[in-house]
Amino acid sequence: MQSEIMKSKKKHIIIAIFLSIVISVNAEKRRHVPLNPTLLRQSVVKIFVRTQGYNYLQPWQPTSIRGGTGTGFVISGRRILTNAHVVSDAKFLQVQKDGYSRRHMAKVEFVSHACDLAILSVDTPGFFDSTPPLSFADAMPELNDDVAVIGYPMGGNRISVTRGVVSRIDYSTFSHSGRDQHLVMQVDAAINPGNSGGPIFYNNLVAGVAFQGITGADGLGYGISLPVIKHFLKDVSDGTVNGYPELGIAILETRNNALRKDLRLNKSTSGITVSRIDPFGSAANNLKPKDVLTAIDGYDIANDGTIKLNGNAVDFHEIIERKQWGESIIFSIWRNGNMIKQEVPLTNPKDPFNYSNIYDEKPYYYIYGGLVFAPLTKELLKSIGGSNSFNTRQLFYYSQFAKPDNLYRDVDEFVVLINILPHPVNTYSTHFKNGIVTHINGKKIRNLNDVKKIIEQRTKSYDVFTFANTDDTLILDARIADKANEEILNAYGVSSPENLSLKLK
Amino acid sequence: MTYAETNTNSRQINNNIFQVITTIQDYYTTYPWQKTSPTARYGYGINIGNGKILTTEHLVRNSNLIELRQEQRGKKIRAKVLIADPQVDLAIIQVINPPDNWPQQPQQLLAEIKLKSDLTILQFDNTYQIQQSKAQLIKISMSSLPNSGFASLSFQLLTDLNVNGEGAPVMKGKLLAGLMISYSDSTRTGYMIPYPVIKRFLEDTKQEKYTGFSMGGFMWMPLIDPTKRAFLGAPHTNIGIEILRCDPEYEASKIFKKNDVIIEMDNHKIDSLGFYDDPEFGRLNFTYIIKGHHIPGETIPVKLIRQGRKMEVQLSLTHIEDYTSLIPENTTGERPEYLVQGGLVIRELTGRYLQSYGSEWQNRISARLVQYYQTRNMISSKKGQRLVILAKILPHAINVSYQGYANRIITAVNSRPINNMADVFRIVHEDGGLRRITLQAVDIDFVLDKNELNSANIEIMNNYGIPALKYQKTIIRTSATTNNTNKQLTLKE
Repeated sequence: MQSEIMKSKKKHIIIAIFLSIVISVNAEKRRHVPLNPTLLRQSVVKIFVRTQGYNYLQPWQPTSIRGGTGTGFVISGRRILTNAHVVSDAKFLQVQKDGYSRRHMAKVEFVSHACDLAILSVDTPGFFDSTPPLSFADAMPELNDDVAVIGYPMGGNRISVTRGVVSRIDYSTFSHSGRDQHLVMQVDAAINPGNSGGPIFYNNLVAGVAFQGITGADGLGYGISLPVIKHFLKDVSDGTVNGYPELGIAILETRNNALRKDLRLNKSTSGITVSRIDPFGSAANNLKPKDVLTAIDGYDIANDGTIKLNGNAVDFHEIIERKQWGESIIFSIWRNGNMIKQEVPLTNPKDPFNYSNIYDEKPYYYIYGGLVFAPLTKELLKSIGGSNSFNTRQLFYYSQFAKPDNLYRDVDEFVVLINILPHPVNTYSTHFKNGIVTHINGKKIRNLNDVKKIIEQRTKSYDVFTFANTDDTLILDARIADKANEEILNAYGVSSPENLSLKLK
Repeated sequence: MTYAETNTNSRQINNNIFQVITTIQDYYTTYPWQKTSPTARYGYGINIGNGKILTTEHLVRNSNLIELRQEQRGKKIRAKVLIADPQVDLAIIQVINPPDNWPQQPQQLLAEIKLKSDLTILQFDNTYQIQQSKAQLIKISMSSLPNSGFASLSFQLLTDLNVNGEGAPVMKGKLLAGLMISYSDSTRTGYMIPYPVIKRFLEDTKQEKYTGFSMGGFMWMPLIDPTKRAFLGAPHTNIGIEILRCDPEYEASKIFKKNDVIIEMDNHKIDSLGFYDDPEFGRLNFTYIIKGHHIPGETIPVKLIRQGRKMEVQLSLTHIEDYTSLIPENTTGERPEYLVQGGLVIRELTGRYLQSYGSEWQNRISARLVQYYQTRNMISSKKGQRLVILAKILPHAINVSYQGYANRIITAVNSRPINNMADVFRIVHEDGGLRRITLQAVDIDFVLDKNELNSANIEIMNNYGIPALKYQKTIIRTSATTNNTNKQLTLKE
């Protein structure tokens, strides 16, 4: 459902969103102020990072250590703002001020992978003394306004300044999460690896954070837009990162006359129709399929799902984009021939069937008899790759249609036999690899922890594993498997037979 | 036709060989009212008497025109398909007006062969002269046919010359050993449909109704894992395969249970990989007992072990058509039924439809449809049930709001549940038109304007060049029954 929701959102992306945000900027504010790099560069730092993620096919094992650099800048409160992707999976983090040789140890205080932003702290006394916090612009620049990017991109060690103009303001998918879409600012100032996390200046004020580009494209750099940055800073002001709320609905345009007649809508009423509810979204229990959302927080919704903001048509999700978790929205709804108002609190629970990129998290797994079990995650899907085998295609189906096709019911997560460490006890089991485990010894598997629990509670001499949509069953001789466990772990250098979620325990 | 007489010389054999030239045209899967560009296929056939030519099914599949050419002659002779069976890739075509010099002696079939036998492949060279190539029989096996996917007895040959067309006759002396069905230039090996299959096919065509080749109606797995063997109570010897699933439509479901271990079939011991010792061909997959030794309707004894206990049952053999599945393959490219109403193109899902999205079709089409396809034999469905999809939306004012919903599964039409296109046609006929459709996992119906539907249909037909708003087979299938008689297997003469 998520992809569909996002798709519908993207469909209505219009550049006018940008115009609506900047329309109030008066002529004086738009007066061009020359860039003052001497002053600004003092607050732009180079970030040195050593990262180490996990191998999702051998989840007890970290990947090789990688090094990289990025950019950050000092903001109020003795904090450094940078990209989440610069510091994700960081094991060793240092920052260096412009013109100084000393590197200072830094810590990640907050990270939001959904909007690719992070806040760092530095404990070194006096670090922030000569680094005045940079100020944010009140409003975003307009198309063709001059901007400058300061940072530490590839091609040299010292600070770099590039200039350009705002080329476009649009919604775009954030590649760091692989799922979320937010407002971005496209600039033609060069943004290259190493620029990530650096400020984009407009009139000497921060108007964006450089964060991604398109490989092979020329003059296409992207910055995280001001509203997204401000949303993040407000989000963390209470000491926790909640991210962006999700409404969680699929929508259908209400432009079809027969459909409108069927919904008993009169000609003067406009709105967007709910075609499905995500069970994990804010809309669950608040909205219903066939609801026609006619207004959001007082803004009338058109039949294509847009609202008028400052005279421009923008997608109605823009209102939700501006909200924090815990806030509410109020919909006017045409439901079963009556107009009602419905408050929708934006307090989504965690969605285990939302398959986003994972960072800073040791993967969960459980090994028994050389069979390696783990929950289905996006990282696992990426590691498995795009083979056309039955089990691989099935995993892609489960990850995309878990909620629309009600596959999520009766389970907390999908448990996958992700790998087999060959040993005589499991030597005839290879064709079960990447299968989704549904039962062990006749008992339903709701989550990874159930695998361990049921195997430990076994009373018979065989373990019988049943997989989704497969008639064949995997049988292990329990006595041999129990004995083989240690031998297998030693042979394959597995440090621990399990990493299980405490929450599910 | 008769096989009693013996051919006397090679001239007579050469006269029996014909080049078969077919003009092929398939239907587009997404625009099922349109045909693809005509293309030509070249192959061979052999005279079996009475103006009939034996060739491969794939060569004549979806042919608009079939022409024959004799050795050293340019003249083309028209022919038509009498019967074709994709399960064994064989067809008989009938010459429409046999010329005066039509060969009088039909080709005779071989009766036995041994591995490593020397054979001769006959084909035309580029001067329309018969060319001979030596070949050796290197493997006898049950293999998946390249053009239909069905398993059949096949002989693998190593050849001296490249084979330049399917259906090329393979001779042992003056007798027909089989017809070539595939060939690889790089390995100089190819497969042929051998004489036992041809013999059975020809005998069947003489019956009042063609019955086809038999199947068991069950799915099985080799049983080599000693742990699993012990768990299922199978013997410690290298004997026995495991039953995984039986199609409830067939007799096998009444006698077999999941996890049964078949140890003997028709008095042949079955090893743990599924092979037996065939008296004629040696080690072969046991499915040849079903397909090669018996015909549909016959019963064979089966010894099995169920939960550690030995028992004997009688398995009734049956013929299973491709289209009995929830999602048929439609390997033969049969014209799909469709309905266009208000620009919504409705049809049944087939393997052929999915594969029309190209070699990477699994990545190009909804993962949901891919999953339905790959689990099609595991989904419990009613007899005759198909997956009906909204294949395409032809944009028009009547279908605004719905145009992004192609390749979705339709669960109901006019608020009435459907099981196949027959249901769709029936409901639309009874209700006087398509009013609404319900899609899987979309919790709002797509509604069409009753008053505008007729004029919209006419505009859509004109705009998109659609000759007819529907194609419905003349024989009505209902949810409860499937009538097979409109298929290619019917003798058309």
